[in-house]
Amino acid sequence: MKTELIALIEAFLDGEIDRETLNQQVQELEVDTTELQENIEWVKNARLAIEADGLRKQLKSTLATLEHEREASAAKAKVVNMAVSKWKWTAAAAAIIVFLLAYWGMNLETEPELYAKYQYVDPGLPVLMSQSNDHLLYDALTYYSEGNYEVAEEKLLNIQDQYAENDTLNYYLGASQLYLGKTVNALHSLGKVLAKPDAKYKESAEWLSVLAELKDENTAAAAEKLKVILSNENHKFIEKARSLKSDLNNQK
Amino acid sequence: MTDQEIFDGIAQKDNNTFLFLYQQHKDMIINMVKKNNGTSDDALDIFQEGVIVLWANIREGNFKIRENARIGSYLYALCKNIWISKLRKNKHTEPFDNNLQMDLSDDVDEMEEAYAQINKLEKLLGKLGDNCQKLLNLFYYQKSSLKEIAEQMGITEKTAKNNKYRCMQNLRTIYNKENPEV
Repeated sequence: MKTELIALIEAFLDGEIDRETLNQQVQELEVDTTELQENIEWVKNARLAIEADGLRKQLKSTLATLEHEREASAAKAKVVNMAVSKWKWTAAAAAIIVFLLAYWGMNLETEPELYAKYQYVDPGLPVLMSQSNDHLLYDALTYYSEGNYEVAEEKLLNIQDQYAENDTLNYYLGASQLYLGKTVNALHSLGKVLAKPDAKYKESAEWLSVLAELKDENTAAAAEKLKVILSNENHKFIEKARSLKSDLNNQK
Repeated sequence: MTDQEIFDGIAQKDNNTFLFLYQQHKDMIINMVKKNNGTSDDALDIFQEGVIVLWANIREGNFKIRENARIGSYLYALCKNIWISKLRKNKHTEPFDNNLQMDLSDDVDEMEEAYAQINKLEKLLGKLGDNCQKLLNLFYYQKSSLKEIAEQMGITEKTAKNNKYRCMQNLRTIYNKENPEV
């Protein structure tokens, strides 16, 4: 590729000459004009590749600085902690003991054992529904996929009237509520999915309903809901259901 | 930051935007990569790769903001696909996590395709001489003028201009050697 051709293509890409002028001047260069479009694409990509290479270095340096600062600040915090005098350590230890006792006594924020063991987090829809007309629904589901259940729930509730009979909305609303610990609401939303015999996400909704009962440590209700799953040999959660049944029996 | 601010920030290669995106998505990306045979360092590389793909597509006008899909979601989908591709290249026939699936939306697919050719060229830049790499970086990435480049490299402005074209020509020669079918 002649340097003169590169210069002409760059002038064209930068808007300094139009296509007609480019064609004329390329012919004067006595180069193969049949490859002109391919050469234009190449120069365009090469320029972009050089910029991408620079950006890669910029990102590496920026993020390395951030990580370095974080490590430095963690190390500094460690040094400060080590410098705390002995009586402060004693006071801190006492405070921790008090906190732990309170934590243990009140069972703060801990998940019930069986719920933790069988917890299932539905990852959300794998495909971006960018072409869909259901903008609002898929906007909410984007938050769900990112694990932002609070915003997902809020957005799904806002459009609930619009999509009242929609299995997707009810299922993901129920799932969001379950992960937020709103088990009563979760059972209500999932119940709407289960009320329809041919609903989408029915099997997942059945399992999440069992989990909602486990989260409330309502093992009798969980066992009852488990029966539906156990009656279906091909259920996607059959193995988990069998194992859970065995654990529930052992607890009796 | 709004999606419009993120979009503009990426287009302008703004560090604050990159830091914002990193803070917002790093945990998810690290989690996804670590669950699938990778490390935190791999996740950092994947994040950078995802940002570059996004930037290249914004730069070329291939990516537009949509009401129903946030930029962060695209970035995550890109990172996920890039990691799955790497796993496959490294002979991991299946990702470890069964929930990990390629994002098959057309948008993401097109963005990756558009970047593949650029990435191929980017890898060849290291084969150019140091002076060529420096000159091309100064001109195309840092947007320095030929006059500034000439001063920085201790050459005349005319030499800087000629060398710039020669360096591009060298890159093309290397590219043709590496891709004999072209």
